[in-house]
Amino acid sequence: MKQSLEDEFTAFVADRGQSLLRIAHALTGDRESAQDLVQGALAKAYARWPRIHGDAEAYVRKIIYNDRASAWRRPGRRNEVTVAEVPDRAAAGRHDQDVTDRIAVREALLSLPERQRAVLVMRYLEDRSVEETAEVLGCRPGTVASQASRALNKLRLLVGDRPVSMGGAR
Amino acid sequence: MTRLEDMVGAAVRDLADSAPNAHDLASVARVRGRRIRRRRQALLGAAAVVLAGAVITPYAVLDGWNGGPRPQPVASVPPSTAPVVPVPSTVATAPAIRKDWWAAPVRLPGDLVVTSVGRREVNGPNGVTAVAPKTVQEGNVALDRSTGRYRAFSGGYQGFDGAPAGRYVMTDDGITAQIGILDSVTGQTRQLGHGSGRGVEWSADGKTLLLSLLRGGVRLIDAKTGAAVDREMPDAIALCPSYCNFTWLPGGEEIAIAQRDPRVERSEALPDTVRDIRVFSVATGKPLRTLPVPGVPAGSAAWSPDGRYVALLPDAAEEDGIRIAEVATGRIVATLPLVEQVRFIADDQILTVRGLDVGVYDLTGKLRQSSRLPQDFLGRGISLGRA
Repeated sequence: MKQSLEDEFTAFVADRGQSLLRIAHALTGDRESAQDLVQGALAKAYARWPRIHGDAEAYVRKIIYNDRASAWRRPGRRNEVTVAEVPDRAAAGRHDQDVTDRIAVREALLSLPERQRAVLVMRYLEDRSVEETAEVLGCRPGTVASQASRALNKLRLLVGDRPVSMGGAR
Repeated sequence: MTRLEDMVGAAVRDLADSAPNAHDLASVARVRGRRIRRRRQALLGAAAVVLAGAVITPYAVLDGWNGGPRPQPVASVPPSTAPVVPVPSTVATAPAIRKDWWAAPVRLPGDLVVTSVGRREVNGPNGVTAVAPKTVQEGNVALDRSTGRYRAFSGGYQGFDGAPAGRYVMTDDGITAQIGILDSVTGQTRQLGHGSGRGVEWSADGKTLLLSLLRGGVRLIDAKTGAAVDREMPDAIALCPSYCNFTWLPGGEEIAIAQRDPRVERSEALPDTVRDIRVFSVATGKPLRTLPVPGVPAGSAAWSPDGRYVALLPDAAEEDGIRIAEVATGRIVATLPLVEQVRFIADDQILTVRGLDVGVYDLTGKLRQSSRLPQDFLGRGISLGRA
């Protein structure tokens, strides 16, 4: 690859690497899996850099969201958390309750199917629209909405039937 | 936005905020990216490089054979249109695991034992992977069958995969990406100049390592002597999907590799669509037959002992589950939840491992039994073998 393109790749990774790792960590909940996911996506980008460098970030993000291989790359690599490990909710004050709920939601989030988790990360971390999410995940907007709704319903069941009003995708 | 949505937003931001620091991403991506390019060139017949690091294996090993008559090659299995038997005759029991698990073989349903437990992830400054302590709780641990106890070995190995039988452990130092074979009884390691620990499958007897070669073919390595012999199969990987590695078939005389559907346009952002599985002779490397199975076998242990069924990795056809396919017809008889390990422990029973949860499913996909691994195993690679 030409030196100018090499430099461009280096600059892209330096500029966007941490942001991509944040997405990957939200998807996997695991440091090593997140790094593996990002490195794999960047490797694919590097292999095609002369062709995709004009829109590299969209290309890499799409791979990160769609790459299912990471769960299988390492034996015993755990990227999902079982429902049984969701901590009991405390009966103390509201602050304690909030903290406990937040931890419970985080654990429950990691127990969702990959696609549902990806939808929630795109919607709530990246603040992407339904249409943008559908484009990245390669599905119809209606599917995104139904996946988000299913995920939220499942989270409600996992963290307890609290009196909160449920909403679907925005 | 509802309170639950607020909490979901906070949770995903929490997760994102606890991401590791980016460290040397570009260098690693370059190495892996060049491997991808070399693989593409290899597929065009231009390269002939042993680079198992470019292929992916889900995990290790064991053919699921559990005593009795030696399983026959899949060719002898007749097609079946009958529904699968809903309830196995006798569900394998889950033995109790003692608190000091390292003092005796950890037994699992189906007369299996844990042969090794890999190191826990240990990060040093800037998220760089550090050497794990040489302890049973955190390090690389293997079953020493001469004493019946687990023993801790160097925490520097990134890959640590105990054979399903016998005394050997496949190691990967994580730096040179080359494998070694550790003798769990003597503690001696034979470092080999071959590929990385990915794309490597133990034979069911624990005597031979199977490496998938980038140029098409396999390398068979004798665990005891380190001697290697190659079987050239240049056209075997012409239609290789993303998971491009061979698995052993029951009986140990044949190996198989999935083939993608060439009619489906490839995208590196999406899983491949798999068309069928090709079977080759281990002795000669010659193609024997093609199985109409639409998926990638989830390792050598994913074949039922009688060769009638095989567990398939997620792909374009089913992204969120493990499909169980009838080998003779390709018919999907069940879909299991996504797990980290899947293996047949009898002709009609499938053991899965997900985190610390061990499950036994029947051929309809119904969970028949569940148990838990020791808490010390959390986040560590686990290899299984025969008791």
